[in-house]
Amino acid sequence: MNAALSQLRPAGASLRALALLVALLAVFFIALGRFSPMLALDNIRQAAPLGVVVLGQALVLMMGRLDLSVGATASLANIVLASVFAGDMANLVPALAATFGAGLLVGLANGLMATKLRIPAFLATLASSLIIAGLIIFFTGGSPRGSVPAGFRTITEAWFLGLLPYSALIWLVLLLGVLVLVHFTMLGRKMLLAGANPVAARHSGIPADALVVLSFVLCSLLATVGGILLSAITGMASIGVGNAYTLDSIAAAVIGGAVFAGGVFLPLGAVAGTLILSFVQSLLYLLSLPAAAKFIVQGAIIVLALALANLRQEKSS
Amino acid sequence: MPWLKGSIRFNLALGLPALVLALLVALVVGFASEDFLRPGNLGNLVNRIVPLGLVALGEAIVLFAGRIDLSVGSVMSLGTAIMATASAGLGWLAIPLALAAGLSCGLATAAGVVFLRVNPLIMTLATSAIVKGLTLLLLPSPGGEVDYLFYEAFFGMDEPLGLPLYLILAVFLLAFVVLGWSRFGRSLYAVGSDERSAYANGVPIARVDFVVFGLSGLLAAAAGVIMSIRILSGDPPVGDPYTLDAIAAAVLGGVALQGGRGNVLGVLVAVVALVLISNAFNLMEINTNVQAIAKGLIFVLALVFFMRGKAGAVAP
Repeated sequence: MNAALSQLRPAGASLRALALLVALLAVFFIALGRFSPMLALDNIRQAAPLGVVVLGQALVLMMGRLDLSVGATASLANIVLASVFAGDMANLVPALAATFGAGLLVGLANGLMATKLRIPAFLATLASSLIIAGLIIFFTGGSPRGSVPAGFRTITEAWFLGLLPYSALIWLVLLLGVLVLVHFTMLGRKMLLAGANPVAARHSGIPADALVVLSFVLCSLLATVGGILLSAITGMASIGVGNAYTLDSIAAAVIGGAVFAGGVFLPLGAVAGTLILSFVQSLLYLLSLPAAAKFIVQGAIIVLALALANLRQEKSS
Repeated sequence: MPWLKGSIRFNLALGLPALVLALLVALVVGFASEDFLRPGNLGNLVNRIVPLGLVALGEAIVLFAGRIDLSVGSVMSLGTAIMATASAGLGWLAIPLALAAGLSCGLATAAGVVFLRVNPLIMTLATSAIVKGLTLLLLPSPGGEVDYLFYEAFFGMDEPLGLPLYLILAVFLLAFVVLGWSRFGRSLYAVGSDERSAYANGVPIARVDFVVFGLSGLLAAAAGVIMSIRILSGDPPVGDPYTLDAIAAAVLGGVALQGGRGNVLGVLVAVVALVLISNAFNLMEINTNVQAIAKGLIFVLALVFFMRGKAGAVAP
């Protein structure tokens, strides 16, 4: 029991990200001029789509790879969901099936390119994001149709008991899901091992390549969930609506202490990183800075987070 | 050619598949379309080769040293934005201004890689975001103006044998000689082949980082300047596809992603091949969206068939 509990203790990097989040929240409310927990919860509701995407990115990072196609995958989910739904709740099952099917294909393609074709993952996923973007414009002719019915939009617009947005609940459930997968199942332990040292894993009889494919499939499916949640917020199909998630998810994972060498999984850090990005964005909006400032702040955050992590590492070694 | 020996000959040979591909495409398109050999089309080809060639050269130089630069597209866009906003007031001085901005972007990337020890892949992704933000602050939407005088001075009458062709040939020849026979050029390959051994043998790694990323930024900005002269305006997203195109050209031209392999002449031939393929699509009047999909597939194929070494060698 004690051993199981010790696995639940969050890593230092996650705690630092959480501390940063608390500090940022203080700044946010001071800039706002009042304390409003409802506003914070609403921010969480809007951050949920990205938060789910980041969980997937964290899984791929754990395997020592990088997925630069999550944004395109989320955009694809939006287009497929809205067009199959066509605004009618009766199409719920085919819409979800088609959307997840598309996500599954993207993940499989990414995983197979990164393992069987031995293409570096970031280039394989960069290429697949280009192909997905081309396919979206080709099939929609640049003006996508369809919409998400109001009934389905309750998953992001309604609140559970008026206290917690449903989208935040979905985020929480998926967070617990990956947490249990990585820390409490044999499959997840093997993934973590294979990410930390693929050669040793292979020598121990762990199918490292298959687990990499699995991580890409899970990542694409989570990016699809992110795209679905985003579609529920916007309610309509639009080209490239999720594209920003690629950079956002990497930034959030990095703030949460992700390591690019693999073998580290910090789900709590990933959540804190997502919320930090989301509140920074709200803060920029509050200070009425131009939208372009978001990119600059994001790039600066990535560099700063990695630089701080590197300096800390050098000090300790 | 006895002076063309050892690793230089080996690296030149890596570009042979690209040469074969370029010749094949040229032959097929030449026979299939009467428009291909018209001076207007040839001039158009050269005009397209120049920006991609400059970006791909910068990317290749970074790859020789075993790094990668994912910010070249954004820096190129920044170049067009600076030209579009500053050339009306500053005239010709806008060009050195844009080049200096590109150089600064590259040096900032190198500073992050050298002093903050951030992985080049992630560092250039971050630079790319920052540069994109700066570009959008400068020019929120496509527009601005670049005077037609610039176009006349640089592209002339769009004839194939003009200033653009001489410029790109001169730049690549210079790079060929410097990378092949100068101390700096060889140290770059040394770092790309084996950074530890290079360091142990006294190669200044930090200086190599500053030079390769600086050159990459400078060349990307130069491509932006030329692009803005071609479209007579600035365009914030215009450079985005060039990052992948540049890497594709380098890989097709025989450059290894893990560094130390390849030659700039191979890259030039690969650029010509890629431009010829896109020209063939245009002459066959294929939908531009299908072209985008085809480009992605060609890129994957290029990586599968021309990539040397294992995946994972260039983590992540």
